[in-house]
Amino acid sequence: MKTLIKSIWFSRDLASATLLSLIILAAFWILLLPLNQTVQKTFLARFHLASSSFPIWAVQQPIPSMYNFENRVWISPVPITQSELNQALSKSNNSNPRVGLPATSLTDLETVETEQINHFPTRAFTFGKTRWILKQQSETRYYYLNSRYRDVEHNSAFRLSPISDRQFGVTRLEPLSD
Amino acid sequence: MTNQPTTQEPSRSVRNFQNGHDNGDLGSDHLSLVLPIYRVVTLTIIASMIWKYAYFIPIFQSYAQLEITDSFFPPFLTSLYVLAGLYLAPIAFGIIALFTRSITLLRAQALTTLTCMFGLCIHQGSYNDVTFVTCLWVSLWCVWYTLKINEPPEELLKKSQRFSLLIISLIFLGGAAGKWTPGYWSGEVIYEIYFSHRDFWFFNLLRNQLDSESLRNVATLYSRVIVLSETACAFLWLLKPKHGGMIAIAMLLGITFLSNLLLFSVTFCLLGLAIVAIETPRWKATATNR
Repeated sequence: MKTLIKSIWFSRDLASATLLSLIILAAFWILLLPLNQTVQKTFLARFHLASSSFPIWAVQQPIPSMYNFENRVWISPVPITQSELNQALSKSNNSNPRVGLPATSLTDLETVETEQINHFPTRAFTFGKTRWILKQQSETRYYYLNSRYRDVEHNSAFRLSPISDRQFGVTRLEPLSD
Repeated sequence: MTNQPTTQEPSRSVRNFQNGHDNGDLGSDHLSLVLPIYRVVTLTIIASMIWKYAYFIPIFQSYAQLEITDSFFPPFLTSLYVLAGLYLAPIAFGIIALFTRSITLLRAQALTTLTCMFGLCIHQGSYNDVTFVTCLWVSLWCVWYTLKINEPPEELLKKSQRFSLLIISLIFLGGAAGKWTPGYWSGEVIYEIYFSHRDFWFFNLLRNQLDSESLRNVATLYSRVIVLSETACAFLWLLKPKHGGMIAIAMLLGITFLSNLLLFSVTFCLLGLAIVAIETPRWKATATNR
């Protein structure tokens, strides 16, 4: 590494210096994650498409973050409160886990469904597989998302409503609170 | 940490290159030495992109069937046509790069690929797929390589190996840091994502062989091994390129074969960089064999 830096310095190698700087910058940002709560909040907001602006979100996207954080999504056919969610949770904890049926399959239209998501929990409604189901069922759905990194968590809520037979609209709601 | 400079006489092709380089002429011998490495990496980017094509096609079809209107994204970054263009352009340009010897064309290809990967990282239909993040960093390496392609081959190879390991380490660091949480240490997250219902040979086998408590314990062990090994791999850049590259290959193949074959879309391009790290220069190999 020393040799690389020396070689870049003495040869005034701008291309290598730029690449090295980008790698160091990204690594530095990642290393701040366990140390700084502001950085943790920034990372979590990125996962919920909740950064303060699109450019601020976009500039973070090259930061590698696969299988990061504990992300959970709850999907409901009706708006719910935190206490209703807690009830649904205790009910689902008492039942056997459904093998082969992740919650985003939205099979049960009566109850709240939940699933752990590897990264970007908003994929529960933006990604392809779920769009088929939304289109077939053509009903309004409420998505409650939670991401946690140690003591810091980010909650958000979204309503997806049909606008036409080929279009759903996303509305950001107030996240659940007790 | 770096390859030791050889004390043996350089081969004829290197001498030819050195003469050509001194004259400001980029000889065909030089390209013969430096292009194979670039083509291997380009090939692995193409492989990453097309590995999941059977997965992407129905997803693209679903986007055509149902549009999600979200004010967060600029409208053109929700367009299916833009998504298709961003996805197909790197493949088409990559195929050209496998055959061309034009430096200008190679630079244009590398820059186009980088731009498309960034576009895919911020498009509504693809932002959540890590394939495009790893391909973005590898295409950044490609841009750098094409800009430095005039450098003496040995110097270029040394630097490219260092940068390869730095990028692989960065990817592992990003994966590891987000897993330094109680949920991953206890195995709860991995249990729910993979062990409880994922239809894959490894998890099916464990579900068939173990009772629920043992399965939960194995999930904890599996999750901890992932956290610790990804953390260790964030320091691959400290090793000699050959050793770092070999560990990276073993790790990337291990992750893919033990969790999800679709992950090859994420790991193929990183395997390309790992191959660069373990590459023995052909002029050295020739000298050794004499």
